[in-house]
Amino acid sequence: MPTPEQNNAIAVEFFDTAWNKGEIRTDLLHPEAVDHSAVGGEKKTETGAESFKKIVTMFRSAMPDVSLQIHDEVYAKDRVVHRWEINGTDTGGFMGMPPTNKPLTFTGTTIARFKDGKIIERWANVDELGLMQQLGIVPPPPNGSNGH
Amino acid sequence: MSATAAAKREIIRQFFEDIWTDQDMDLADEVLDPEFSFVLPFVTLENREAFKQLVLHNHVAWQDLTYTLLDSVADDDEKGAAYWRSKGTHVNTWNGIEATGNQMSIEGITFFKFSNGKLSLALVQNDFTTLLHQLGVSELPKRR
Repeated sequence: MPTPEQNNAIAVEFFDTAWNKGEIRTDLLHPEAVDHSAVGGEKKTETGAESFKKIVTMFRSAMPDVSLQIHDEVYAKDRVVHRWEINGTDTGGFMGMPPTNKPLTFTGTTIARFKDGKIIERWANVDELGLMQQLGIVPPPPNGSNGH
Repeated sequence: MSATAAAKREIIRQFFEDIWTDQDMDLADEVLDPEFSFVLPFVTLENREAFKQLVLHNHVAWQDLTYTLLDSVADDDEKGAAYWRSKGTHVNTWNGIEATGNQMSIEGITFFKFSNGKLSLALVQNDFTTLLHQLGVSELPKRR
């Protein structure tokens, strides 16, 4: 059975290749892989690589210079968690909007579950509000915000 | 000396179920480092007392506020993480938003660091845009 360290190395390879090269390494995904995504406030659970591929493609077309940096990781048993930051310049435009040509930065956290040395399930939570604010879509949180 | 992975996962469970949900402030004093830092993308609470105030404050703003632990991870070193769901009813002003009576149900993922067996850092990501939707605060664009 692969060690948590080996699982983490696979997760690093998978996410780094996807975001920084635009290539989805389906060979690192389990045949029964399930993806939980929450883009635009809509939660979806889909099998296979397509939903993750769509997300990566959407961001890479909006920000062709996009780069992912993994800031921290924790792994144990069959789980790997990465805390990451994405940076890029909005030269392609998001969601059909004209490009702002602004540098954008946002953070996220991803959990990957492994089976037989492959990713079988993925969950992510992304600072979508921060991204939208940088794009000028929603007003900043009210003053005195202490979050939730 | 770091706590075992199992001990850290138990503290993570207590963090959501006993401290966040049941407002057990004695337990908060026991398992949180005095310098415990609670970090959201748009605000940082610098210490344990500020965090305890946030918990109490949010229970005033939200009736029946609960946090359910959906998944947790901890290593044998100083790190952990949790996937959780929070629910509540918006009955008092929160973040400058007057009571709507609306129910919220959001999920999040928190990355934890421990120091000498106590929680020292929580880096939180949550469905804040979903929450704004549920409160009817802002028209957010539908994608595609």
